[in-house]
Amino acid sequence: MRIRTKITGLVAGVLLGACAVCGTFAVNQYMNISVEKAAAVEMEKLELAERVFGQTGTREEFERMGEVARDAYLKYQFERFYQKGYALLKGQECIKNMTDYEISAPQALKTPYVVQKQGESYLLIMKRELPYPRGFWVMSVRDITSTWAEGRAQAENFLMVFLWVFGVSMGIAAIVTGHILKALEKLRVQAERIREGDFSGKVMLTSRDELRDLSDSLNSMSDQIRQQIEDLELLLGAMAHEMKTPLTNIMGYADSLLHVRLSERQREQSLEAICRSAGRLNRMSGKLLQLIGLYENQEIENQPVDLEELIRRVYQEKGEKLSERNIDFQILRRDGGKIRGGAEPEDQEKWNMSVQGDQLLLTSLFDNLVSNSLKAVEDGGQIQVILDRERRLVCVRDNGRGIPPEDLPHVTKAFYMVDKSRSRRQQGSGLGLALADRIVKAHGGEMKIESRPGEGTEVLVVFGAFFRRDGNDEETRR
Amino acid sequence: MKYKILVIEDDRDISNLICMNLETAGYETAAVYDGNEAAKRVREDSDYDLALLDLMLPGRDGFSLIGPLTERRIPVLCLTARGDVDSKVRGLKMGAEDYMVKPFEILELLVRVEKILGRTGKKNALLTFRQLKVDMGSRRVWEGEEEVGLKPMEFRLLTVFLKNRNIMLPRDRLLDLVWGEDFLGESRTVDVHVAKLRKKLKSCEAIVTVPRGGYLFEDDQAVREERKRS
Repeated sequence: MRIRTKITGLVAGVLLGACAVCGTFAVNQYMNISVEKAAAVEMEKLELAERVFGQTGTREEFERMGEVARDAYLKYQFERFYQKGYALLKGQECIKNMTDYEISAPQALKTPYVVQKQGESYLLIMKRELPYPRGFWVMSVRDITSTWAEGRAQAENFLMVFLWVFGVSMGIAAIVTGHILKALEKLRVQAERIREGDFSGKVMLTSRDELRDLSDSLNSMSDQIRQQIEDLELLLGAMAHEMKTPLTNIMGYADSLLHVRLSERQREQSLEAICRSAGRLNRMSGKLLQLIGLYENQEIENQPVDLEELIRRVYQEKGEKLSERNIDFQILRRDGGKIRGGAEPEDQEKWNMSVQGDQLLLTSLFDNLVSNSLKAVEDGGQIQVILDRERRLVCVRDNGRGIPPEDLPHVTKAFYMVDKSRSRRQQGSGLGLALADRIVKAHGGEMKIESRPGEGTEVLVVFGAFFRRDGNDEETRR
Repeated sequence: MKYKILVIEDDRDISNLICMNLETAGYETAAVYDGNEAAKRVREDSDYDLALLDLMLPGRDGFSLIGPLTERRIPVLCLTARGDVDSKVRGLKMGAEDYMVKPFEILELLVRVEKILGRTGKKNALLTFRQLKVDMGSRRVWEGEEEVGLKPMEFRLLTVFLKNRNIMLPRDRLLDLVWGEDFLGESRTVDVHVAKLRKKLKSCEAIVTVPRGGYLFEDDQAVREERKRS
């Protein structure tokens, strides 16, 4: 069933029900009151007539009369004092009837009054016993058809008013539902467009209600999807482009090996170049998989990871390269404003700086950062990793070549390389910092890079709900 | 006299690949790895017959180098990973002779290089190999002091071999290059013509049949030079 039918039906049903109950009750009440009022007036009249009738003779006088005489006298007096519409009863028998109706079975009247329908007219019938002589009743019969007519007119009025209210309400309901339905239709059209992959449009609702909230959610959802798709498209485009260079190499050298007369040395060089390029593709795909994995399932393992331990392991892995190039690598702890060396684990108490996170991803993070520093520094340079337990941050800094300020905002973009040829020579994939950034974000942290060309680079990884930029950063630098 | 080709490409492997093949095919190469250096090199010495130009270079952008190169009458063959039409149109409009998208086939590169040099080359008059002398202008061939008469297709086949030395040329490729892509001949045609060349010219013993492949024109000079360098 369509919403329009539902709402219209509901409104009509509620209105009809409410009006039927209220109307019946109101008309009924009105009738009761009218009849009661008529009865009260009639009762007063009866009482008045009775008081006057009482003057016709005292109790003693009546008692002194014989029964026949008394009846005749009463009849006579009744005729004198009562007008049309009254009857005198003796016991169950009517002895004087001045009404237009025939009276039968007056004993059936038990209540003070009763309304009887006689043909087209309604009659109010009442009776009252005379105080003396005993056994005589005065019965009053009054036509109250007009009261009933009034009641019916009242009911008709009520029906008219009800019809008006009903009509107006249905009109308003139709307008309101029309409005809501129009908004819903707009939302549906927008959802349809999103389904078809068109994220350019926006739903514009002016009302301030739940539908507006829904449209806002829909709009932001569409924006979000578009952003993600754009990100992925950029990533894919960059990837396809980045793949071309190693592919050109592999294809070209293999082609040459197959079809060109090369010297032994050239053959060797070609094979080496193929190996290098294949290695590059392999590294690239590995990092891409990690990156896409982080995009896809935002869930990461959540276990305590000792950062110092982890960084020491990264250091051990790089040990050979470090000593080969005579690079000074230090792991430092920052405690209460002081930086102390903590490279030798046995001479100090267990100093645990751990975060909740994924061991593999965090290893990859620091491996990437340290590798970057390694690429940046000259032989004999220095790399420091400073652990700050209080502020929950790790700082990786080097005194290498640095990053030019115009490139700094872009370095976390996938495949962005400050110096392409240099990066390729050093087997960079252009994905390291993009991956590092994703990993830090997946851990609810933030990564900040500061660098001065020629002086060095400092990468701050802050694990924590929020990142504060304050003067203390300066301290760390010193 | 060999053609001198300037290779402007930032990826060392690709640069080596191009130089290696061009040298093997009988050209002389010079490699530069970034835009600024390329501009400097061209200012100092504009004696190049062709420039292979990567459009995405560190330092100076590749597009901005097309102007200075063509000003010095060095034809430009753009080599790039950017396959979009805009880049192609832009490169060609700025004066590039041709455009190749990475990854490319070596043979295609050589053919395109040859085509450009055929259009623009200043000293393409004479091709030589051992005793063999081929005058491209008058389409005459001498071996030693003696002139040898070649039919048009034989002449074209010989020049294709001489321009693509040390590179294996499959039969269908030779058909395309010599007889044109519309020619509906069989690969046997190639064999027949090669046999005629070998019979008419002693130097054409250098044409080696590669099993299941095609033909290869062996020129040990390029290989010897390479060996000398290493």
